[in-house]
Amino acid sequence: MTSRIASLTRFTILPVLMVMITLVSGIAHSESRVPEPVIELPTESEQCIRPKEFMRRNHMNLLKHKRDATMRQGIRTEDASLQGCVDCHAIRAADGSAIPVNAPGQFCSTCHEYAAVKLDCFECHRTTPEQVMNSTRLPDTPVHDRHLAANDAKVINLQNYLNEAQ
Amino acid sequence: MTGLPHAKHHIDKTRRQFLKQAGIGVSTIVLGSGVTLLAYPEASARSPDQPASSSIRWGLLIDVNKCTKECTACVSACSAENGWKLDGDARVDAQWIRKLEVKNPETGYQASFPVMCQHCEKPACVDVCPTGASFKRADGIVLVDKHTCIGCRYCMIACPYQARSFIHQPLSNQKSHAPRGKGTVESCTLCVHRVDRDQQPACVASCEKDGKGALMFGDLNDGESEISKRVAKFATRQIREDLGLDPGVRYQNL
Amino acid sequence: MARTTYTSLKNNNGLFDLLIILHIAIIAAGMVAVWYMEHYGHIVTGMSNKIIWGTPHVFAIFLIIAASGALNVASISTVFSKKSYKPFTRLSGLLALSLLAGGLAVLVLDLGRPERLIIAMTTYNFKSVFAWNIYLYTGFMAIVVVYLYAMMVKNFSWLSIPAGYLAFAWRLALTAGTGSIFGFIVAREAFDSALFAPLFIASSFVYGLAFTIIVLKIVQATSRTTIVSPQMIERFRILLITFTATVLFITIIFHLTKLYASKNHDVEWFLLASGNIYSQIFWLGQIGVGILAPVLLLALWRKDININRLASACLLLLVGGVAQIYVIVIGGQAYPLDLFPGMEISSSFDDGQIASYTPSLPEILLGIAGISIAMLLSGILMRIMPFLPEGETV
Repeated sequence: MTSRIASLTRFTILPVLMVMITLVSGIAHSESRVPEPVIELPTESEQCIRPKEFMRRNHMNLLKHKRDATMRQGIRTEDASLQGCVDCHAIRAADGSAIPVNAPGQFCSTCHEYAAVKLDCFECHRTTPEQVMNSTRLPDTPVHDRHLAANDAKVINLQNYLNEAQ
Repeated sequence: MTGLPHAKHHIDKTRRQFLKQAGIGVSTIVLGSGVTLLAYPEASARSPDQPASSSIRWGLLIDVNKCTKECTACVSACSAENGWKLDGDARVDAQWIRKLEVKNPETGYQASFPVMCQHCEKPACVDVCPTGASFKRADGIVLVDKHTCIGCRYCMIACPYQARSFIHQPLSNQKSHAPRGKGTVESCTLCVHRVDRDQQPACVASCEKDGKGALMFGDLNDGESEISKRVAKFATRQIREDLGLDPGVRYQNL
Repeated sequence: MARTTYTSLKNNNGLFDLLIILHIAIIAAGMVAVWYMEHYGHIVTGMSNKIIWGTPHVFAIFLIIAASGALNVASISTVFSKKSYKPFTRLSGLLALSLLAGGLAVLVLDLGRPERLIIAMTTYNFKSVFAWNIYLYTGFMAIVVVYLYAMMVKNFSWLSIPAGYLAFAWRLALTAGTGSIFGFIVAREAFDSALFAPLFIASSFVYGLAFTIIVLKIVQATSRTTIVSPQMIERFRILLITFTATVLFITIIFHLTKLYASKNHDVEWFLLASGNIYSQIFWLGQIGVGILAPVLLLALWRKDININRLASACLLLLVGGVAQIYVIVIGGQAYPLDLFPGMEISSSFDDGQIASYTPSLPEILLGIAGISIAMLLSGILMRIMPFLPEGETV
C-alpha cells in the first residue's frame, strides 16, 4: 500500500508539481528580472533590408546562407552582407569615429547578451564600417537603393577597367 | 556573279545594292563588336549574383628574370590590401606572400621571386582538411572557409609550399574584404574579392605599377588570354611539380 | 579453471585517494592552461607557423596509440582464446576507453577553435584521414562500450565474441589511421611513408600493455591484493620484450629505407646523426631509455621478475614512447620544406631554416592532464563497478 503511494508520489505528483512551480515562477519573474535590451538605431537610414520582426528571428539564417553563397561560390550580391549590417548599424561617437558593433551596449551586443548567445562573427569580421573604394557597393548609398547598386555593378566594373587600363 | 537572265537586270541592281548594304551593315556589326570585345575582354565577366564558373581557371605567371632582390612591392601590396603585417616575430607572423631567395650552391646562380599559395589543381590542403573548410572554388582559387575552420592546422602540415599561416592572437581592425581571426588558418586568396570585381590581385597590380612588371594574372583556361599565350610560348615551370599537385602559379626563367 | 568473479577496486590504504587528488590537481592545472591558450591565442605556446603541432599533440597521439593497445589484453582473450588473459578483459576495455578519452581531450582542447567541435563532428571531408579518424575514434568508444556491456551484463555474454572481434579489427584500423595522419603527408620528407601505420600498431602493443601493467601494479598496491599471478607476470614479460623488439625492427626498416635514397640523406642526418635535440631524444630517449634499457632489464630479470620490476620496465617503455612520438611529430616538422631540391633557400618566412621549438608550460600541462584524465576516469570507474578480477589469477 505505502509503496504504491510512494511510487505515485515519486513518478507523477512530484514531477507535475516541479513543472508547475517552474512555470509559475518563470511567469512571475519574467517581466522584471532582466531588463529588455534597448537598441540604438542608426540615424542615416530609414529601414533595414528586411522588417524588424523578420530580422529578429531570421538574421542568423540570412547571414548563414549568404556566407556560404559568397564563400563557396563567389556570389557577392548586396543583400544580407555582414559588412552591410555593420556599415549601417555601427553608431558614430561624438568625434565621428565608429564604435565597434560588438562593444558592450552596441547594436549586436545588446540583444546577444540578453539572449546569451555568443557572437562569433567578429572574431574575424570587421566591427566598424570601412570606406570601400572601387566596389560594387557605392559608399553612402541609401539603404533602400542598395539593391539597385548590384545592377550598377557592370557599369562600375567597366569604369574601373577603363581607369586601370590607362 | 551568277549568270542571271538579262530580263532580271533591274532586279540585279537593287539586289546588288541590297547585298552591298547588307554586307556593310553586317561587317560593321561584326567588326564593331569585335573591336568592342577587344576593348574590354572581361565584358563577359560574371555579375555579382552569378557563381564562380569552372570554365575559368585563374593563374599567375611570374617572370623570375624581372624580379629583383630589393623589390618587395608585391609583399607590401598584399599586406596593405589584406590587413596582415610582419610584427617582428617570423615564427608566428602571418605571411601570405614572401620573397624567396634561391641560390645554387654549386653554380652560384641566385634568384629572388615571390612565393604564395600556389592554388593547386589538386591541393594537398583541401585533401586533408577534416571539415572541408579548406576548399577549391570552381574557378581554381583555393580558400579557407573560416566559418568552418576548427584550427586543427593539418592543412599547414600538408602544404608543400608552407603557404598557410595560423593566427596566433586576437585581431582587430580587419579589412572588410579580408576577414581574419584568431584560431583559424589563412593563406593567399588570390585577392578573390578583387578578382570577383574584375580586378587583378593586389600583388600583380602593384608589380605593374611600382614593381618590375614580373607578375601576370589571367585565365589559364582561356586560350586567348595573355597568360595562356605566354605559357604556351615560353618554358615555364611549377614549384615541386614532381608532387603532381598542378599549381596554378607558374614561374618563367626559373 | 574456476569461474572468475569480478569486483570493484578496494581502497585499503590511502594510495587511491592520494592519486585521485593528484590527478584532479593536474587536470585543474591543465584546464587553466587550456583557458590561457584559448583566450590569448597560441602565441602563448611554443607552437608557430613552422612547428605547427607541439607537445599537446605528442601526448594526444601517445595516448591514442596507448588506448588502442590497451585493448590487446582483451583481444588476446576474446579473439585468440587465451583463457589466462580472460580475467583482465574488463580492465583492458576500461583502460582503452579512458586512455582514448584522455588523448582526444588533449587533441580537441588544442584546436584553434575548440568550441567548433560540433562542426568537426557534423561536417566531414571524407578524403581527409583526419575525418576518418574522428569516426574511428568515436566508433571505437561505442564498440568498446558494447564489448564491456556484453562482458559485464548477465545474459549478454554471447555478444562479447562478435564485439570483441569487431573491437580488435577496429582498433587496428584506428591505429593505422593515426599513423597515416603522418604517413599520408607527401610534403614532408620525415613523414611520407607507408610504414607509419604498422609502426604505430607495433608501438600500440608496447604502450598499451605498459599502461595496463602499471595500472595493475597500482591496483594491487592500493587494494593490497595480488591479482597478477607469477605465470601472468612471466607472460607479460615475454610480451613486452616481443612487442618492443617489433617496434625496434620497424624503426630500423623505416630509417634504413629512408637512408637508401640520396634525397633523404639530409633529413635522416638531421634526425639521427646531427647531434641536435631530436637526435639526442631519439638515441637516448627512444632507443636507450625506451628500448635497450627495458629489454635488457627484462631479460636480466628472467628468473626473478615481479610486478614491481615489470612496472618499472613499463615506465621506461612509456618514457621511450613519448620520446618516439616527440621525434616523429616535432622533429618531422622542424626540418624545413625542400621547395627547390639541391638549392639553398631563405626568406622572411624562415624558408630553409630548421625551426626551433621550446615546449611551453601550458602545452606540457595540457599534455600531462591528458594522462591524468585517463587515470582519473579509469580509477573512478574501477571503484564503482566490477572491472577487476577477484583473487589471484592463474
